[in-house]
Amino acid sequence: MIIKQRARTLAALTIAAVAANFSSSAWAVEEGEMAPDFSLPSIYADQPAVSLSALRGKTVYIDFWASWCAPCLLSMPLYNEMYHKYKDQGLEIVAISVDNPIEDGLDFLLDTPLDFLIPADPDGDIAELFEVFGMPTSYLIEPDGTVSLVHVGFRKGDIEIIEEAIQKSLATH
Amino acid sequence: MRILRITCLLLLATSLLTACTEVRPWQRGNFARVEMQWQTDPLESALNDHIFFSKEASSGGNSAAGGGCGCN
Amino acid sequence: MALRIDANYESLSGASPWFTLAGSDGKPVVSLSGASGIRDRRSEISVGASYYLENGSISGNIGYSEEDDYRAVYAGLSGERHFNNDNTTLSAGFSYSSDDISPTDAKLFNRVTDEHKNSASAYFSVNQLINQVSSIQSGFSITEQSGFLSDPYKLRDVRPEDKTQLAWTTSYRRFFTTADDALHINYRLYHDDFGVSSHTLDTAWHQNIGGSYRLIPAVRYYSQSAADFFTNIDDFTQPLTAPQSSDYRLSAFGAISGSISLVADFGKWTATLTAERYVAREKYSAYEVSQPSTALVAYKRVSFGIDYSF
Repeated sequence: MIIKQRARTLAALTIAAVAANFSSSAWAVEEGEMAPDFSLPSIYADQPAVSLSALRGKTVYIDFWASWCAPCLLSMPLYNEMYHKYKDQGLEIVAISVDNPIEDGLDFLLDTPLDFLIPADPDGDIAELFEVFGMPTSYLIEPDGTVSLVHVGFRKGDIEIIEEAIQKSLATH
Repeated sequence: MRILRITCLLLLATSLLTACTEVRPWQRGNFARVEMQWQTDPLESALNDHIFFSKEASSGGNSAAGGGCGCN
Repeated sequence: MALRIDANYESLSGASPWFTLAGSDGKPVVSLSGASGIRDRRSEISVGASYYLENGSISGNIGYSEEDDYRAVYAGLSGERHFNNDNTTLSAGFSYSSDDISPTDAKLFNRVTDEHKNSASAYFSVNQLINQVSSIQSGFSITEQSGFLSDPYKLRDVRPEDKTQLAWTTSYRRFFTTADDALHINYRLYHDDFGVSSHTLDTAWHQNIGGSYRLIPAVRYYSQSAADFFTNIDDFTQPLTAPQSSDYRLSAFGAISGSISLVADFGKWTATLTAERYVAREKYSAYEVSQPSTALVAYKRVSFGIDYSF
């Protein structure tokens, strides 16, 4: 029957599409490794560029976020609270916006003012450097530059895990 | 009939030939948009399905058939 | 974990063809039941839950739907899994529905009083991101129905008690960054063992206007072949067991429809206004029409919806 035969051909084509596999690289930044250095312009035109090496000696929490990522938006106000709680003990938060165009990110910041550093990475070059494998992904970087925590996604309750790691890092340095 | 068949095959062929480029996690902003969802308005789609189902002999599609309805 | 509860109520009115006879000129004539037409009310409630895993999710739902003459209880289970760094998603699902049919005015018109029908349906689909702005989804579904599949409101409507339906659907989405709009194309190929095959092609253009409005013009083409037992003139000489139906929905025809929607999105509130025109004609058919139906429909529809999300 014509219909059946056609259906079969289409099924075969569909499978071919799925089989076109992607090579997933194993170069992601992992716990225990040194964080790669980067320098990015701030999302705000009137603020200086942000570079990781300039923050050496501090506990740095890096987060890749975007205004279209619902869990990211949930995490931002919580990060702002955490920043105010620990900034005097040496915590720096760097929330890298991957919004493209960057105006999408700025629109969100208009409604939700945040006080930590927000560099813009519209082309995803630094996200690529870190091999971010989910949105959001965050990295806790020790004062000596090593990564002590990689956290993917953000759900209710995750802030406690992150805060605990930050407290531990601040206490040992 | 033939035109439809050709359109449909072309659609499939183009999509395969453009060879998928991996879309990285930070590049998915467009897919988060409401107008890019498979169903942008579930209630409206349900109403449409219900109306077409009551006027035409065909039903079924990407998801398993939902609740029955006495309209066919 | 996510929980969803949907409640829906709709009201439709119109007249329903009751039987067809050969008129004096040999062309079929349709008799409508009830000069005042019919009213149709439907209420539905469903509860669904989804559980999210690292690389996918599992969802289930149960629901109940009721009309004056119809009750359905249904349940479904589905799952999806992501592959290729979330660039590919496979989904599969199964659903079951148990329906009771109890036509109104059954005694008056000598209709069936209490009938039953079961349907089971399964689907499988693949969703693939093509690049940063486009994706394609293709799926296959099979539905088995058994029980009373005839139209209880027609004087002579006898259909087989089993029906297998196959549908293959492909959907494409493309976002245009500079114009800030999205193109949707959906195609469905359908076949069932009543003998009906069909093509459905619809395309919509989602144009963003400012930050909170969307204008969505859409066109749809549909055409089906006739069921093997379709007749445009009821044959009362046939035995009651012989399948036959003069239901226009089982005739060969084509239909073109166009619609335009305006969506206003105010955060938690969304309002949608839709105007639609649908015209079914024998001449729009992509299939051969050996027996045209005289009851093909044309309608205009205006609908307004407000959504509030918590």
